[in-house]
Amino acid sequence: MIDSSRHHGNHRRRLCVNGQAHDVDIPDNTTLAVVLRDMLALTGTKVACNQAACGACTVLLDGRPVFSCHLLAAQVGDRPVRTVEALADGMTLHPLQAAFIEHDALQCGFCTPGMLMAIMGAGSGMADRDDVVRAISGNLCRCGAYPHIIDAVLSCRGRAAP
Amino acid sequence: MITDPSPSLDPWPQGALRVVGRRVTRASATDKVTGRTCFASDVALPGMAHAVVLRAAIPRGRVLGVDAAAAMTVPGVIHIAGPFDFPLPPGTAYSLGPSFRPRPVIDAEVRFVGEEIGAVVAETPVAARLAARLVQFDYAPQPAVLTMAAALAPDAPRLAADGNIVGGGDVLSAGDLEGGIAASDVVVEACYATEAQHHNVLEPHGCVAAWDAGTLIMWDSSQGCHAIRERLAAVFELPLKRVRVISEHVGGGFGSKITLKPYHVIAAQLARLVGRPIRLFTERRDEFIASHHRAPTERTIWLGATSAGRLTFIAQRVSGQAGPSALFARNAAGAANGLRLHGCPNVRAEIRRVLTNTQAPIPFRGPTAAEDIFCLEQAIDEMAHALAMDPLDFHRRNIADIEPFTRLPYAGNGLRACYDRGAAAFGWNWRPPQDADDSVLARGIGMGAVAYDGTLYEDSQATVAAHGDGRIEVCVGLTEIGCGADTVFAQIAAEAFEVPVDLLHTRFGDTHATPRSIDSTNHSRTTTVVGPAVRAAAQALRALLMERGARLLQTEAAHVMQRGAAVARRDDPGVAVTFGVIAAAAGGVLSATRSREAAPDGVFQAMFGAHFVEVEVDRRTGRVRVLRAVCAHDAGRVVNPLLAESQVQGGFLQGMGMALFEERVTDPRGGHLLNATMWAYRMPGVADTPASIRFVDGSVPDISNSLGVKGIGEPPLIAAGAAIANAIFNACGVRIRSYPITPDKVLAALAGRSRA
Repeated sequence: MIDSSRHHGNHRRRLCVNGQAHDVDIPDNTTLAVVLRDMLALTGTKVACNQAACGACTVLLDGRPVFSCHLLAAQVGDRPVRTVEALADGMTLHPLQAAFIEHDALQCGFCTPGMLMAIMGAGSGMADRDDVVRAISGNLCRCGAYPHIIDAVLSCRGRAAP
Repeated sequence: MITDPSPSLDPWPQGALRVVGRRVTRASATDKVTGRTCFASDVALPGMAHAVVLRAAIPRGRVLGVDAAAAMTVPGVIHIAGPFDFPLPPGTAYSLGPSFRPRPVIDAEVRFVGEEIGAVVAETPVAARLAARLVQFDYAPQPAVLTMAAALAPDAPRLAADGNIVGGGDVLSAGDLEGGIAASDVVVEACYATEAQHHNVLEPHGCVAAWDAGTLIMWDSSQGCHAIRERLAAVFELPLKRVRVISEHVGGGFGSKITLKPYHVIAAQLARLVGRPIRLFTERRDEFIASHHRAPTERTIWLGATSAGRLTFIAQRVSGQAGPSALFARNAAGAANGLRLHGCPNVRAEIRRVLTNTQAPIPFRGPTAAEDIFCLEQAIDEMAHALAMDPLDFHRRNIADIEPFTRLPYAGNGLRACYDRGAAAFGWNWRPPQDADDSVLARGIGMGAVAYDGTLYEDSQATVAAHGDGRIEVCVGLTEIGCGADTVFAQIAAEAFEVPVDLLHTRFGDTHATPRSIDSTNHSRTTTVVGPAVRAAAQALRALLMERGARLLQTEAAHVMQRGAAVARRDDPGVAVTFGVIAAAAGGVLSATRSREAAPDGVFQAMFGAHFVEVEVDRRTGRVRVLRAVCAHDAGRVVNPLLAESQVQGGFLQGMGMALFEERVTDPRGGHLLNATMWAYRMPGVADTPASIRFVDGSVPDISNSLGVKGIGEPPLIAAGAAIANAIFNACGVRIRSYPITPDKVLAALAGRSRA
């Protein structure tokens, strides 16, 4: 008999997401993406490939971009998690979000949260196109919005740091 | 419900209008950048259970038995179904057309690796996946044919009673082929191939299905809420009003999410069976092996031309891989759009759609046309080379006056504008291939054109409503797949209404809240089909508001005028009543629903375009990089240049993927796809993106409809491939006729030439 509860215990864990502490019962085999989406209803983070290959699930862990589909929630510990939901300040969009809108840096929009978080994680030092390419080289956009994404990011140069 | 078309509206004047033709930002963009957009895969209902489809591991045979004992012990498993115990919906079958044999969605007969043979329902997705791995199937395998060559071998197993070529084959022809051959001074002949292409949408196929008091409600990741609703109603033998499909935004479709698929029926049936809402979304591997793809094709092309550079005939012999039945065979191969691209009177294509034990082809952005024109436009380039002529010059000498099969004039043909404006923007300065040069990095330029048949008329309704709170709502029954339907119809209504576009909101994606505007968003036709209905509804509502406003102002309609979003007295414009107040006085909402206008007679609608590309070929590694591209397209009228630019850049990149990277690796014995992951199946990433993909508006006036619009979604993919291949030839003198043009093929061709 296979009993997943024998192999994978449930543990009550405290996760710090978007500046807020959440106490959740998490089976050990649960990824951060599942916790965010299914337990905390933060569905802005998308899971597209579940193979750590497309970057749609990118969130910031301690300020650095990670693929939340291949990070176990148990590995997060007390490090802060930041998702796309926390990018805007209330009704005020982050300059990067505003630039995405202005340059139409998205089509279907499914890769967008991951793109935004990957760029945020790359920091404010992006000087040129090559820096942008490096920052999102782990993120796929099947609609092919890359040219407008590059335009949007470069238009943010010199504006508010992430 | 089919309605009579409305009378045709007055054509809009040429050029940019007040709102139409402006770079209005995408209406849904704010929700998309903040993570608020709700996709079907974000829907979670109370009490929802999770389903996983069980899929065949052999390419052909029968399921003899199912052993689910081990799987049933997984905690959280609710139900496991196989082909012998899955109660069929009342309609008993999953069938897409009246002429096809009905077939259960879960069947014991296996026709390709990945076909649906069962399902697991569990409390959590993890439990469902774990149990799915433990279900054992006992098969009786049969010999399978995995390639077109195998299917056409003399002793091949027959997949249909009448053989492995659907309907025995198909012929398209016009004019006098023998006369064309006799009139030619130069003939070129070559064989080409294109590879299957996977849609690889980021949001997987899937839905959440629930029954509420006899009504099926489905949140679906599809391209058309109304199409899915109508087909679900047919399968479950329900009146339309008992099926509600909600499909507002979808995380990519590209053609793969047009039609009813087995998962829809499985999810709805499981939801009924277990009495709970079911969430069923496809895993990535299953997206590759069982969500359909663009068919691989092979063709031989013969072209004839006079020494003055006029085409005298085009003949083709085409084969496309059709999958296991005739159901989707029409997506396997075609040649019509290539044959209507150039002004060649004598054309003929023999088309074979070949049955195979592989998943069936389904439309992929420019279905059959991309495969066709990727090859034909290489052949055209070969002909120009044979005539020692600049390929742009050759294209210009062969512009079509009429469509060859109907012999009707085009409602608008912007090819010459695309050639002229595109070449000017690119700085086209052609020189012959640099095959004597042996520098490591070789640069070259190439071009390719596209024609794509449009849609002159389809029944469509749209509603425009004024609300008491001042909002004006455009209500259209369609799904927004990323093309900008959330924005362009608001622009069209704002234009008709003479109000700022910000006042307009668009409602879409819910069959219970929208009229039927289109079955699904595909074939680059949403704006051209639905746009005139939106304009008609907006004009009707405007007249209604004037009439009601006049009444509120205690005068006649002739004595009032519109001032912004209000109706004012002509003699005293300070006395006015806002649209919101008029709507409130009418009970809160005032709306008008109109059908689309009729189509003009005697014309053929087609989209046109021409791409100009510069590439760099690394002679040491065989790697090809696209450095820049200029994409000129005739869309009749570009409603929103910002969104059009997005469409064109994305289409070009998908075409570049098909031209250079995207390729299956299949186990030749078992039929298993070996690269069913997003890293092993190579798609264009940001690092592959050319420094510049520039959209040039090559539109010319088009009389298809009163808006003067046609599409722009698919042609940018179709035109990309040959332009890239032709640039490779121009760079280093090697002609690679089999897509994708991967480094191994480039190196082999360069080695072959240096030996020659």
